[in-house]
Amino acid sequence: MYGVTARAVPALLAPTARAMSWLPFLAAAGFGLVIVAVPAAMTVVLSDEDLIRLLRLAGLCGAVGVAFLLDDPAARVIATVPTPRVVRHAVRAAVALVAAALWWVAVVAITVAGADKEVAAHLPVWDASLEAVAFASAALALAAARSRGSGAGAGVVAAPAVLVLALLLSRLPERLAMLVAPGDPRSDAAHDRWAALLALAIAGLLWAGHEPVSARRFRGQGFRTSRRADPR
Amino acid sequence: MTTSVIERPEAATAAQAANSRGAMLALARVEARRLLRHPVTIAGLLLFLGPMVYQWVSGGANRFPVLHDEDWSKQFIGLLTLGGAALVAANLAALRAHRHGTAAQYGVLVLPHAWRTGAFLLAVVPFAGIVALLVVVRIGLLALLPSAAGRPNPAELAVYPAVVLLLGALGVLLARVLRTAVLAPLVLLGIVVFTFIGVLGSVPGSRYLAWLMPVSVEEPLMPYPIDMMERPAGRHLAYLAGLIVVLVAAALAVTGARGRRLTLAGAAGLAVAVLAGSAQYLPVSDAVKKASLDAVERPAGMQTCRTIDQVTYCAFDDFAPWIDGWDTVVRGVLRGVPEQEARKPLAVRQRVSTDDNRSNGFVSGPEDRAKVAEVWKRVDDAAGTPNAVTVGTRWGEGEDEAGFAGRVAFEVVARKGPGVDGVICGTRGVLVGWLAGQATPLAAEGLREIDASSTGGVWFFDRSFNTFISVSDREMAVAKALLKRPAAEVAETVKRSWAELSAAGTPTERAGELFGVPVPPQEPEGERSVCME
Repeated sequence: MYGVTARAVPALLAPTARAMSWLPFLAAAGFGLVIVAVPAAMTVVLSDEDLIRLLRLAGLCGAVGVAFLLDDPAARVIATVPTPRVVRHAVRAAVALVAAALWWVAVVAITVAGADKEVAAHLPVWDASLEAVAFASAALALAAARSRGSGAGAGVVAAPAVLVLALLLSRLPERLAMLVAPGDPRSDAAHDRWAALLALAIAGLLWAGHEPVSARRFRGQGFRTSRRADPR
Repeated sequence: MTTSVIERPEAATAAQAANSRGAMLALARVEARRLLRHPVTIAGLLLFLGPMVYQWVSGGANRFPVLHDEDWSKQFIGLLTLGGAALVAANLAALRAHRHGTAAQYGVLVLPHAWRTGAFLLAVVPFAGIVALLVVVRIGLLALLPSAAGRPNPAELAVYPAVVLLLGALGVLLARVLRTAVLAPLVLLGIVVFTFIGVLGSVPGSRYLAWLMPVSVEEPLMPYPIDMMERPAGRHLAYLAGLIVVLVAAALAVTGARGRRLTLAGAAGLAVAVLAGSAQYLPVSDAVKKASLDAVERPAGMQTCRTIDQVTYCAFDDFAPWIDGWDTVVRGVLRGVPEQEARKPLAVRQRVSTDDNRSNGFVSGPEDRAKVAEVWKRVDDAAGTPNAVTVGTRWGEGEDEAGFAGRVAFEVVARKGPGVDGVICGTRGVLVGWLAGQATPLAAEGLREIDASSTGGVWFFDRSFNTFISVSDREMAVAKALLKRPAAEVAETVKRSWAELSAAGTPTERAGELFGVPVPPQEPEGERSVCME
């Protein structure tokens, strides 16, 4: 059984990538690139604080786009295939994260290339990348949680939810602040919290990837009517 | 064979129009309820209100609000939480039929597409009403505080519900133009990016962008008296109103509504938006210019003075309720001073600065500061309150009280007048540090905050001005040791040895001997700060 599953992964990659709805992601990723590319192309000199702010906004764009990559209108139809949902989900999430990672490398490269040399040398790009990965993983986890039961409408819920999450982080009291400026003495503690958020998001993603209903409950029940797919 | 007669749509009678209106209102009622119950709306309201409520409950809220600053300063967070919620929730609602694949079924309904769009637009109105109510209640509660300064501007308050209506209408329009749910979050992020670019001084033309966004976060250097307010609040509100009409007309037009009234409304909205939008950039009026000049050069004419015992306080009229707050701190400082010193007349004057040097990192040269000091001296002499201690237009935080207490203490110790800056050395430094720290509990807290966030010493300055006096770490170490002891016990020694302690040039070691406190060794030559004489 597991051997079959392991062999299914490479076979799944290309069709999954083809079946994913890329348009929302491309729109969001394109907008994220514009956010960092326009100031980089202009002659204005931005401080590290401004650049980090732009990187965060670009990272949020990426998270919004990634949230739509788990949308699968066929999820309920293929619930009966032998490959478990967690594997199908992992393949999808992996493709999404690889695409997002490539895009993020481009975003950071443009930012660093467009920044003042002095500022670019001290720009905390790894911290910003941790924040972006945490946002993207949170978006994926929210989308995966939403798509339990049915595959449609995951991004519709996860995209606003990740914005709400970002707003929540921006409104935290001082001592729990997470969106701190570069060079802030609280930066290290803040990024410990970011790492915790990332771990939480990955745990959530793994949990949400499992088949929502155990195989035993299906037996003798016939086909369960799915929950209302209405995210409003 | 049967023949069915299909009525032509043009034959719609007035009765049918009335039916449509009724159906639209019924749909709007249902949608309004769903919008208010939407998780994004609830999250937005909680995120807007939560931190404010938390601050009040935890006692961290500023009890000295400036009402004409509070009215607009929460607009940006309101845009993000409330406006963002309206944008996303209205967009999702208008896209619901498409997302569920039922758009085609709606074709059989009697209510035309445009009327249904109208219902989605109307559904935002109750949410905007709730936001208006919240904003009015919030500012009303702040205004009820006995120490609230100034008065709120209704046009600034109306921006909150206007932004909700604007973004709600934008959400519906986006849903009607492009059927994808990814757009609304991205548009919200785009608005944030442009609002932020609007306040970047380094971007050419950014000031024009700032006021074209739903809210402008352009911040004055400090809260000013109302007569000096430069924000084009009324014109900006008119601009938003024009935009709302344009968006509503556009959303109706793309769903098939036609007619002269719609065209006229759209054209009128556009005209108002363009006219009011450009009127925002009219130069500042002469009255405001004159008030700004007067506030710096001749503030006495704009101020109310009140004498409590021997201390005269002069505040800008809008800020007069703060005098009692200042008096508490002054009394606190004078408590540790010998009777004959405390009874000498003292003056406190509120001042503002219009020299905006934020763009070059708050840097100012000694000659700039000397010029400011000269103006202050002239003002005080002309008003008959020589050597008035400066107090700014921010009050209520620990750092404000500590800074003010330090300046009052220095004036009582040295009697040098306002505008002096430099490092206070020797026993004078110890005295100023101790007097400031024991003045009020909030000043003590503020002193600890300043001490924790600064290196080399403690700076007693108002956040709005560049003049400062500071006490080095060595003197602060003695002062902090004294602050740990009962204030009455220290005060007794201070009063007994006042002449010696307050004299310039008495070395810090002398304070150590008098109080029995160890004095840290002096920094090596070269790293020592230059003392003021």
